[in-house]
Amino acid sequence: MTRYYFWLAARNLKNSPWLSGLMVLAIALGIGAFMTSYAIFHAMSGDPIPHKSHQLFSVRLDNWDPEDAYSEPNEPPTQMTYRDARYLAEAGKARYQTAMFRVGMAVQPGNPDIKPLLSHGRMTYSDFFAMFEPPFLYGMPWTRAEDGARSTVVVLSRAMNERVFGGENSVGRQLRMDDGEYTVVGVLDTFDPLPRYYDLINTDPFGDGDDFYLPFTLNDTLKKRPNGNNSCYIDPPEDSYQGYLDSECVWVALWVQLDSEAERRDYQTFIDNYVMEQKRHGRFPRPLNNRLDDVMDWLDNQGVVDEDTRIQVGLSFAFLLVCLLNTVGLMLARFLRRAGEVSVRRALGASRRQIFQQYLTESAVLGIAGALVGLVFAALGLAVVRGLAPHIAAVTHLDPSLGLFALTVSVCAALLAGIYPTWRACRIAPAAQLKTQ
Amino acid sequence: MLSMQDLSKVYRTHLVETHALREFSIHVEEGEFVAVTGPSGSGKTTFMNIAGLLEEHSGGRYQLDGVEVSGLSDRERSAMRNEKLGFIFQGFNLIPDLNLFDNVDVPLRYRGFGAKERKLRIERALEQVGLGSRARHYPAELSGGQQQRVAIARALAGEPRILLADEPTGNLDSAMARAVMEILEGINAAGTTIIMVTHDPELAARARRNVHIIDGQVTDLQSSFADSALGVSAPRESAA
Amino acid sequence: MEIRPIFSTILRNPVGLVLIGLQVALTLAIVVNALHIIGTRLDNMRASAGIDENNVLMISSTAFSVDDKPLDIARTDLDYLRSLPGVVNAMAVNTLPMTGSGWSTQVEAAEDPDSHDIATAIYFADETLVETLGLDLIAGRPFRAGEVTPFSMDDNLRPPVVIASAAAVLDLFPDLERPEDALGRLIWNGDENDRAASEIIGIVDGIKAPWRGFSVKIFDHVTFVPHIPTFDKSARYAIRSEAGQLDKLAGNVREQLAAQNLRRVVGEPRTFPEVRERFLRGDKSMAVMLIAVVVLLLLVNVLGIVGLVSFWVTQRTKQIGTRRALGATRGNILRYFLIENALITSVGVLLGAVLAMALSNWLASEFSVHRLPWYYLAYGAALLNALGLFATCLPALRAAGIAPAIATRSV
Repeated sequence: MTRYYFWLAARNLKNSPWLSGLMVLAIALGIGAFMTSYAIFHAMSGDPIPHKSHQLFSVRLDNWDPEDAYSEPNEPPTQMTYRDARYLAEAGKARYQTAMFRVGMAVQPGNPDIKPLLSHGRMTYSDFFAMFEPPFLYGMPWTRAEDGARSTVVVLSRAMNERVFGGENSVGRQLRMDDGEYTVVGVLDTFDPLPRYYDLINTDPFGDGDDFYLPFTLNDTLKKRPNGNNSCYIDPPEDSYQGYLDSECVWVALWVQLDSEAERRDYQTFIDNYVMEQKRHGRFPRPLNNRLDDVMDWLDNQGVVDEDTRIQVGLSFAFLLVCLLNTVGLMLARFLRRAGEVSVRRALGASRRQIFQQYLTESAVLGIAGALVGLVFAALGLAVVRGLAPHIAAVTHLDPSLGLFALTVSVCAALLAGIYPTWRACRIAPAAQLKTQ
Repeated sequence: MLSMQDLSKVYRTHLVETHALREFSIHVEEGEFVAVTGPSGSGKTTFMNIAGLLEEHSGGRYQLDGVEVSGLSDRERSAMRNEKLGFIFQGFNLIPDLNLFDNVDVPLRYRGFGAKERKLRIERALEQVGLGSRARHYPAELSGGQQQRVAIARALAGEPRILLADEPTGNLDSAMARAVMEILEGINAAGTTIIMVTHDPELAARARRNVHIIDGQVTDLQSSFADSALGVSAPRESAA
Repeated sequence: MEIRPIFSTILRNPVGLVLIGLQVALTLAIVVNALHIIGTRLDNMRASAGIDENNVLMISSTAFSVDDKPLDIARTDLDYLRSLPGVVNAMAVNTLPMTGSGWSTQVEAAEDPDSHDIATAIYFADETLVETLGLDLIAGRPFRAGEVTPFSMDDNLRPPVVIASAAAVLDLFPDLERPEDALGRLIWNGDENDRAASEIIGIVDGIKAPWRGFSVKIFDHVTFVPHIPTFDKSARYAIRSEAGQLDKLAGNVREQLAAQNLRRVVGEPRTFPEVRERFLRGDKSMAVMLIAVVVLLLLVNVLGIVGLVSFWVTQRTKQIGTRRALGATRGNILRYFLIENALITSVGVLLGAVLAMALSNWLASEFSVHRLPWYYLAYGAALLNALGLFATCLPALRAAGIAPAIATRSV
């Protein structure tokens, strides 16, 4: 019987091409607009590391101005002072932890044909690799021992390895950066979590990652300034690099991995105690306000899904609603125009329920057609968006799961729109239209 | 076969109450051909709608093929319409979007027959009314008489016990009307009970039994069967 | 024709009222809010940076040897750049307007007991700033060569003199009527225990900060300080080309500069038009998206009304024929449908106005969007009424064409 209903629905669509076209167009426009903005929203709001996003925490301490919060409402700074971050990273109270900041360095390839190039890297601890799990193409991370020994080792991104070493296994080779020599211990494979959750402050969440990774401890000799965000509420105590390291300026990020709720509680206690202890030395003038945010909370806190995207999703959903209201009207017109047919079918033995099924099937078929055309519209819409906003381009595409989502939304919407007209159709009395034709 | 006892039908709006049928009683035996006549507004159509389970009655008893229909659900009534009743209308009421084959197919679909069985029945029914070669045509391509024959084929395909015909020849010229009438008589001869509403005294005369409805009541009855009148006035010879 | 009977007809079968009314209401609410956002974004896109936008580019140089003196490199580079043909002038900078990154700080009016502080962007500049950026200096003077000193990341910012934007001084000194009057006033910079006073020696108009704040007003607040900045081992230069020569300059300058000193990396030049395009990209894509939604929404509305009114015309064919037979003119029939639609649309518009204000309030509370000005509602209501009448005309004209004879036919 279901096949019969589908067959009838297809016939009816074909038999009134204008009205059918109008209805499919209305649904398709709604689905197309909604899916265009939803695809972007979906790409931006995804979980970048689903299997452990609840175990990785961004750590924040509130060392800010006693008079003014870093940002309202009472948010601690997004990054930490160098000395706090370094102390916490080396205290080792969590299963894994790392402090990190971004630096710019000139890479000087051994091959004289390749010019020196500016590159951006990350000063971090070996735990970075255990926590964020970047895939290795060659070699492996440096060790905690090498952190402590300030070893001159480097891990390269796949792209950097291709530029400097032509893509071969460069483990064990020397790399010259800013006139210093570093031994390559590992080369990463493509590592593009979307968004780049471990550094939302200093990089585009949907942009390129780091070219290289160096042990944080090497900064004792390199004395790098961060290539990224730096905020100070009071000037450093003296005009020197050491003064900067000792200042209340925040420019280093700290992440920890805590595998259980108990570990999380213990770590919170640990950092609270640390801050209480620092207060005794005259630091941390604000009330205790230390935060541990897991990955998804952190993405939310930092507003990774920008306002425009949210507004677009909202407005395009409202647009879909208008398209649905429209479809209700058109379906009503279509179904009631066929009142005579309903009467005949009823007289010939169709129960009210069968009429209901027949017309609901027709609604569903409209929804399916609307979804298919709508996906074409969405693909066009995304093409336009890619032209307008290249940085989003890389992350938005219509994958099968989004296509399925569009189909579900469209069919549900069409069924919803079809309910009232269908109800009206199956309420037509069997005898009503038989006499007058 | 069909038995109504003290049946009543009241139409209510918030202002008026109209009694379409009052203390209406009629009994039809299996194999009868009954012509129903009466002036406009007398209740003929209401009688046919109730007989055909298209409307529910307000009071009294109605037994169809031994089943009391009061209180049946929509589903049960629909199933009874589908299995036991066939309809023929003045306006033919073919579905214009479907070809003849698919029109005849409609009641068989609701019956739940398999594809083979349906095809067999559709072809046989269209043969029977002389339109076997036109199965792929659409109703608009046919004359009124042909359309009515398709409607008859559609009614017959499900092998109903009773055929209800409401002014089946009302929209046809006399030659076509006679042709349709002949088909109906053939069907009746094969054993199907027929109840036919008509204005045409000539056609009514060809039926074996005449029923006259005035003001929602059966007031007169003629029959060629002496023993067929039950609970109504005495039988008379038909005027044919 | 009186309105009352039409209205009671509508109320007898309110499905159309509900469907079209709701559709119009939602459309109005979305359209006016979207138009408001579009208007803001178009304003953003028109904003001028306050510099000679078409002829300025920025380029960076990073040395990699420990022994190199970044300041010396910068001075040599600047001399070289200024000598290039087609270059008007060049100076070392930290950033340019609209780049999205830079340096901001709080400053307050010195000598004012109840002074309040404002956020301002800090731009580094030397004595060539007016010429290099093409600034509009409306009062005072540029820096003098003797005032310009080096600045490294280890230094604290304590400029003796500054040049400020007109908007910044007006916000800083609310008592001033004209920005020019701020000349000679002092501003404080630095934290409470370590304040340095700077004298305002020049006022520029129209200059913009690197970013636009919403909660903090900063886009028009700019302070120039007289320093040649170096960051670790790198420096950035702003170069102004002669009119129309920017692309040529951008094509060559990297090679030319790199050839001067091989022990450093010269970055890709960023022309200001590129900087501006990138800065306004979000506004542009938002505007385009919303314009598309508005256009489609109005289209869907028209289609919906055409569809439903066509259906009513078909349903009422006989009734219309009867009216015509009883003496109604074509004009009467047309007017009937137009009045009916106008009534329904008006109900929708009233509901829509309420919805629009609710949506606007919600947007304003959740996002960086300002409240909807009332005249958007007025325009939106007029627009939807006009569209509604237009959409009704198409099927209503068909209705007006129905022959009176229809009434007498039984079909």
